[in-house]
Amino acid sequence: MENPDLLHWTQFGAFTCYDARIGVRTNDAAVFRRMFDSLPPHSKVMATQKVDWMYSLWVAPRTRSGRRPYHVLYSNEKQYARLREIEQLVDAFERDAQLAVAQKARRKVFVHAGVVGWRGRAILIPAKSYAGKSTLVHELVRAGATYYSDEFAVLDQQGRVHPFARQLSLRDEMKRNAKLGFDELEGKIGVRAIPVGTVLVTKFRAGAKWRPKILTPGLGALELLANTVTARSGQPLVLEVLTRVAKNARILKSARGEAKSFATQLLQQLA
Amino acid sequence: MASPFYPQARREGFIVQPMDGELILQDGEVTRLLNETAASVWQKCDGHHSIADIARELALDEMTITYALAQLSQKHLLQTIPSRTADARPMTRREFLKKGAIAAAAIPVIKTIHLPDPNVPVSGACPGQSCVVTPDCTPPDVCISGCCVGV
Repeated sequence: MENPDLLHWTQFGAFTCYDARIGVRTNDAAVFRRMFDSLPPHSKVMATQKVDWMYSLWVAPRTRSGRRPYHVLYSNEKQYARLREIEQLVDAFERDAQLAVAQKARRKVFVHAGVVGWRGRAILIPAKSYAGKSTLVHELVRAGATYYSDEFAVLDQQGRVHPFARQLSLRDEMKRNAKLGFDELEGKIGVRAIPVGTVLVTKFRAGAKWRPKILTPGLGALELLANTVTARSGQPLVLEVLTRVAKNARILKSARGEAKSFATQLLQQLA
Repeated sequence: MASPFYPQARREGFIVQPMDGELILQDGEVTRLLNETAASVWQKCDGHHSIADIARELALDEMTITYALAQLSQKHLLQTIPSRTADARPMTRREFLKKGAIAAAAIPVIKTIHLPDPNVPVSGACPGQSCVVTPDCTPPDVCISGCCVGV
């Protein structure tokens, strides 16, 4: 396999997001701009070349036969994807860079969760990818909650949640991802850290009624831990933070029905 | 007469996080949550307390302590293994509930989870189509880790 360090890169940049330092390089100025337009939310450009993670996107020249060539995205030294469509590689970079930030962030714990703010406190919905977090978050925002994230709850040492407001990723009937622009969100976007008020452990089930059971802080912490990106790291910070959140929040567990009606019902209950 | 058993908890290699009586024990990829009863029994297992001592100090009956120890032993949370009775089979939860008149909240419970792989894809992380199962993908692609991948 080709070592990306040996390729001739003409464009290099680095950014920091929640203290994770990520590098980006490519051999095409236009692609470089597109990659920088796709950085994780709240990223800041930085000058240093010392990074925790490096993404390299090699744009192959046109072939003589006229066939479209394969372009390659590397995540550190590994080939992450090899595709003919640059746009798909930029999308792959966008998503994987978010995961890299979640793994490399310092003094923050990233939990796979949808997050909205409601009356000054956060509602966290921990769940794996493809569990319907974004749909529920979208409906909660349309019902009046403040948008924080459809993918990660960024928790600090005080147990507060910070925004990670990326464009919502909603899936269509063909299970393809479509991004929802911020102007289409029909709601506000959170900017400051807020304490966690409620953790919802919920899954969609057709026709289900919301009959929440209150979980103990221990069970709540376990639900959060099962969705924490750095859960296996063994860092004491992870358990400390999750414990603080679980002790101070209500942990509710129940199946739910359609997102739209559930969102309205939930916000009324939490009013 | 059999000599009394002095259970000793395994305490090495864990991150221990107390939670208002409950206890989280993290050991690499595996995390266990001990409810209040299981946690208090585990904490008494210092190699100096017999089953009768633990029962007396926690104001629980010996059957509950024996059941808790069997659970702890099964989850590799004891250094010493309790000797088995004549039928050589640990009590199931159902048998325990049938035998004892114990409040549901006081039943020793240990919940185990396996921690997630940090490299699971972020929602929408696929270069192409995302999927849950292979039939979601356009043939001949297959579904791997939530992404349709060509073979």
